[in-house]
Amino acid sequence: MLDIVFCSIPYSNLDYIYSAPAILKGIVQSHGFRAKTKDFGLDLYTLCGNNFEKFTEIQTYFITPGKLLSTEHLKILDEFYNEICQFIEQNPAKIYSFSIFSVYTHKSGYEILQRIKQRFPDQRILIGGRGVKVTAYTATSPDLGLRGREKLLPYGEIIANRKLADYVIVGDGEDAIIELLGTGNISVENFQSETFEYPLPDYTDYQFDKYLNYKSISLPITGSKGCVRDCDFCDVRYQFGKFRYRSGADVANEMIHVSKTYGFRKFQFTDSLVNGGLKPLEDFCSIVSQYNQDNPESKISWNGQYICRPKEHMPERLYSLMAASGAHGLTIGAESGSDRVLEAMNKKTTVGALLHELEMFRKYNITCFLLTMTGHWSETHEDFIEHCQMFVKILPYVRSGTVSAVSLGIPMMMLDSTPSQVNIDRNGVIVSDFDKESIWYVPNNPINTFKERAMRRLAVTQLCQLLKIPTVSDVEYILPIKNYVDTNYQKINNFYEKVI
Amino acid sequence: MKKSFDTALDIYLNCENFIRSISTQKTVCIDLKVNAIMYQSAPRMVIMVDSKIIYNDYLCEGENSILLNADLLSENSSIKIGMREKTSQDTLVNDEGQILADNAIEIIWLRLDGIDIIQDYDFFRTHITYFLHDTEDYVAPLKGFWQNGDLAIEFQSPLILWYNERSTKNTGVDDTMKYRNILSTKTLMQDFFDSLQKLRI
Repeated sequence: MLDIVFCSIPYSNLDYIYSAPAILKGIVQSHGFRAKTKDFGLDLYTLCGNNFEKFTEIQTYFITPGKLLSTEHLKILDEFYNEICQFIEQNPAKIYSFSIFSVYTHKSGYEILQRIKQRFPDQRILIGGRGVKVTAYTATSPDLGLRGREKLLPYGEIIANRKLADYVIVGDGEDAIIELLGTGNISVENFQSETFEYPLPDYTDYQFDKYLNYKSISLPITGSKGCVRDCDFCDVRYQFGKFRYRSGADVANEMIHVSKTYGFRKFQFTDSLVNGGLKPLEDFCSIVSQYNQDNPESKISWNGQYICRPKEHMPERLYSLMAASGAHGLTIGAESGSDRVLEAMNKKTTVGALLHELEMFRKYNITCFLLTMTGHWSETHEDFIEHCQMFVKILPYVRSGTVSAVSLGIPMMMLDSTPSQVNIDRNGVIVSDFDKESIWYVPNNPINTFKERAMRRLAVTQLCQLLKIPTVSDVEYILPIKNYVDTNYQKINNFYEKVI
Repeated sequence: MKKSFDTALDIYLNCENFIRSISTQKTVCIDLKVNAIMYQSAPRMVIMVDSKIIYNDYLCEGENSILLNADLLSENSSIKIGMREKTSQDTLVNDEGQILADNAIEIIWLRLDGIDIIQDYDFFRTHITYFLHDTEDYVAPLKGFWQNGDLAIEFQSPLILWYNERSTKNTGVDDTMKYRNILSTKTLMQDFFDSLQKLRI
């Protein structure tokens, strides 16, 4: 009998390979336990006859409240849940662990766990992942039948209260899982040290060839957790606690080992930022750039999220090393073109610093992708104009290909547990009862209503089209906002008419 | 008539005018890096903006960096960069006609307001003129000077918008990044705009 099986469940991006199960398998194996990994998202895709439209339709069911499926799709879903049960029957394990990766996994997780507990009431179930700590996804809460106070509880607590999981791990799972397998209890919640190390991940159960575009897939790798910043719109600090990192050598060794063992040459850091610690970054880049120099036929390349630092923080040699180690396609949270808004966001950077980073990236042939947003609570109309000017300022870098594309994001949401939500009183923000994240009003910045924020999003889309700046995910961002407006416009109107 | 852009709606509805209003330009930044090759005497370089000479000097052998800010005198402007005073004495040729030593200026980069003109090959080929003094002839633009001549760009300010309209580099995303987009962004934007009209404030 296995000790534990680490499972991924839909909502699944099949052009992305999740590394967490392989990392956890590597960790528990290094402590002498037997483990297996399983991606049930692939099984659902197979049951859909590898038909992406069918697959998408069923996945949409997991994230859309009240969505009904056709008889054919319901049959597939039923078959899918049965297959999960069959897998459990054929692969007995003391514990089955399910990754609740995000709010998008809430509904599927709920239905899968219900089915498993019905069929195997004694099977011990563990859930973990970022999705357990947050309240149940607003969009799916009606389908989960949440009532009263339950709506305010974290998803993990709801699942535990309903006896659908025996253990819930909040935060990092590594130490807690080892403790659970050894003693049957969990008392560890989070690492306290600044650094951590991983044994080599074990991908042997992965069916790489079943993923979409698997030959061009970048394999995920984790060099750090948390963030050195605490931007007011972001929940990373809440999710991960303080910034912790692996040594550069530890990360480089994993990358080189995985590259040699499984043939992957492209890697994607799951870190909130790859340059949180400059020393580990420099150590990592030095080792990998040497590897690339010694192995010109099998060079490694990598991408990840990157923070824009003040000019004096990043020595120029680091850009050169990053380029030689294969850095490309780094994602930078530029967010706003107004220094005033960046300060209110607590970004600890400026538009000038961004332009300096882009200059360095252009010099060393490192490409990047910019994330931006409109409608921060502090964003006045003048700030928004400065934001628009930023798109003109970055044009030389867009045309040179240094900035490959820009994401225009969604109008600002004050997410649960982020500083912007925690500090609403200090910032003088009035939030609505029905949607405190999206519908809010700042009396000392009265133009910044939801309508204006949405219109700003529309205006920057138009601006980027005219400036020929490639943007990504416009449909994915705009369509839900449009649907949201169509469904909630009366409530939104009532709120603003009341507060203004 | 100058339009005002007091709300995002104004910007959305008059976006082209808005872009011009936030891109006004009075000066141009010329960032030039060249490699000067020298035989008998140092090559001389001249830079002109709107026919006004803003740089006229001999280069040192090897890499030279020139960073200049110049006023633009009108909306229709020109920037000219050239080599002067090269004579037949500056080229050493052997009996077989092979050049053994020469005076020349190789352009490493030419950035105008941050735009890397040389790296945008299609743009460079189609929007830059290159005039040779000795033959008084326009030829395909070269990334440097091996004879006396001028490399020129004539543009309408703001340069960044003029260039941007003409450049075809990196104007779209790869299809693999779009496969989930089942709707046209244009249609969706109009639908979104219509939906926003339901909001009163």
